[in-house]
Amino acid sequence: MSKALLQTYLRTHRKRSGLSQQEVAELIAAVSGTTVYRHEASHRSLSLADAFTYEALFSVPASALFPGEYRKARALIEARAIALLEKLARSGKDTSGTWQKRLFLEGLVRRVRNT
Amino acid sequence: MKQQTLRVVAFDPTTRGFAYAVLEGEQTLVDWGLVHVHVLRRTDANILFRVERVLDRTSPDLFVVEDGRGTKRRERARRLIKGMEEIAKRRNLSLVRVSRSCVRKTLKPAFTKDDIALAVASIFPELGPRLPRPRNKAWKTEDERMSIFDAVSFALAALSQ
Repeated sequence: MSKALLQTYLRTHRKRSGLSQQEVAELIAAVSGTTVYRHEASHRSLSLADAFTYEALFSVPASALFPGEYRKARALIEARAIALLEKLARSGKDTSGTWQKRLFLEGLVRRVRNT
Repeated sequence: MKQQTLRVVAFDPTTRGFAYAVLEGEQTLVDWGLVHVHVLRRTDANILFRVERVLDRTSPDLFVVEDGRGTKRRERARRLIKGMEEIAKRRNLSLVRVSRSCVRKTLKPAFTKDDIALAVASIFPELGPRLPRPRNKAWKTEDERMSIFDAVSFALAALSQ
């Protein structure tokens, strides 16, 4: 079993399409092929607009194109959800609103861990 | 999004550098290509440095090279394969040496290198445009792109073992 997915599969999808980095740069209105190289090598952080542009270009969800970024986001969400759950527990409130939040956050942590 | 497959990287030395192929399982070709090192800097150390860069980028589970024993490969290619094996050992990667006969068994009934390249291109259609034309004269130099197909066939053979 492999340790993890690659940081990005942008290079794979670009090569499958037969496009050069320069051509992809023209398609996504980037300055040059160097920008595409940096995205492929994960040397440059992606903007939301870039992620959606690549998703539209290769018809692949951004989470599958950039699993490294997706992994980071999931880890962040898990840690923050646990912190918020602890904060709710410390507050001692037991209203229906708090119960709804706890239910959602517990489900979120389970979902993030299982995916 | 759990990973279920083995990531395999295979290398094949060429006159100007090396060819490589990265597979995730038998069905997904993740990366492939030819790496050229400039003639003025073409030393074993520089070529092996570029091999390390491919490994850094792909972090494989399995490292595949041709089993050089009993082949007609030149001294330089044998030396490079040995250097690649040392890199695999240093990085604690599982090393698999694949012989040509093992490749033939995997991609039966393909026998010649041209047949094997065709078989590989039929499994991975994305390689189709890189398929070299068959040599019409045996003494003509082999197209360098053939090494990409060699690397992919080594990886497939290693996965089938």
